[in-house]
Amino acid sequence: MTTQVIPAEILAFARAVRAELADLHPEEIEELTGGLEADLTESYAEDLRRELPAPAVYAAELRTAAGLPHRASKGTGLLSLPQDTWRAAGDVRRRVAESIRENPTGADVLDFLSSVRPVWWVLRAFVAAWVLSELVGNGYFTWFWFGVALVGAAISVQLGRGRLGARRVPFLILVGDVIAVLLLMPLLGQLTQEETYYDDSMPMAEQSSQGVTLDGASVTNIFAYDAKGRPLQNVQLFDQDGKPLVPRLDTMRDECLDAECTVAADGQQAAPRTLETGAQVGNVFPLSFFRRTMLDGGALAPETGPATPPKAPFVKVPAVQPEPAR
Amino acid sequence: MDATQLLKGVLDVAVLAVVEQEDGYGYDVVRRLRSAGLDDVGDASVYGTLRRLYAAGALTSYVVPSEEGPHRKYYGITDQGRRMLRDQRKVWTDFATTMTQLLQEDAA
Repeated sequence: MTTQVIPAEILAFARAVRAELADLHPEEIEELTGGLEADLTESYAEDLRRELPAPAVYAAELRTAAGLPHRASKGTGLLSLPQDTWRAAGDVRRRVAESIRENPTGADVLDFLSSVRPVWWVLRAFVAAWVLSELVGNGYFTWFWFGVALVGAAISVQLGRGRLGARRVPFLILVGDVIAVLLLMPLLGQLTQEETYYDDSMPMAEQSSQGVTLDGASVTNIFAYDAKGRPLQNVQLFDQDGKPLVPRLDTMRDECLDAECTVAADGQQAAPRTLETGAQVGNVFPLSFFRRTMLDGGALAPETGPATPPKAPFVKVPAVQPEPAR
Repeated sequence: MDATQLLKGVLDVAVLAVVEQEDGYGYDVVRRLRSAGLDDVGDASVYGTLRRLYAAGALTSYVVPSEEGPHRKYYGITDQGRRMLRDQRKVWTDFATTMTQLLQEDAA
């Protein structure tokens, strides 16, 4: 039944049709025109009066029915391969989109994504500016680079809208997008690192603010003098919030003998005082100190003897002049 | 109104229905569509549709060799194609019923 000889004009016609489809992927051409000669031969054997149509018209009909794009102007030189590749990619993209749209949720997601595309257009400009700042600049994203990013964003949006000749170089834009997505990862990585750095610094700041400091150095004792300039004993001090003012050594500022940093490098350890409530507190000034010594094994010996008050820096300070009467 | 225009929208389901009856190669499908009454169906439209349905997974294809002359590429329907056909049958029936009622001349 299929033993037939194909007429030369049909061979020529099929060749011409394939030439019209030359911009498609070879596989697509084969799918579209596989068995074309046999079909045509059979078709025209049945009706000898039929005339072969123009190959271009026939090829266009094949394309339309197959849901393939119309023939684009032929690319030249180096650009022709990317254009073919792009067309094949576009075909795949269309098919994937169609199959996703069959599902209502999928269609919703696609619509959502397509409405946030402008965000990507702006984002990729910032990625590009960041890369430039890394390559050309000193790696700091200064206001200058922010300006570059804004100009880039304007260009990028125009490209996204298909302006500025974007339709002629879809392949280049695709490549650019892929590169931008890939670079986005290290960029986000860097941003997260910076965030982590700040996170780390938070406890550091808290630690360094432990105790009472003056100009960054630990205040280990406070000496109060009355209006006449005489030293005071047993003064309870509180801060503006009512928190007891307790000097503490800090590992960041001071050298200590123990891990909790309660004993200074010279073996001094503040002695707590007891209130009438029985509570032990550390905000009664001037503080007295125990003396602790380090044992051979590295442990601290128990305090020896009673806590001794330190020597005041001044025996007496100038008296305060009375406030003028109001 | 031109039947050719109407056919464009329903060629998929027509081709699926024909292939469901029996596997066929390109021109065979064209001939069966024509003999069913779709005289104006174009060869290239049918071949293109076969290819698109194949790409969409609704059809499968296999080559039948011949001793003389070119090999034949046959198409058969897949499960997915059957589901598609069943869905489109329902759409068509609903649509055709609606249009028939709408266009009835003796409608009140």
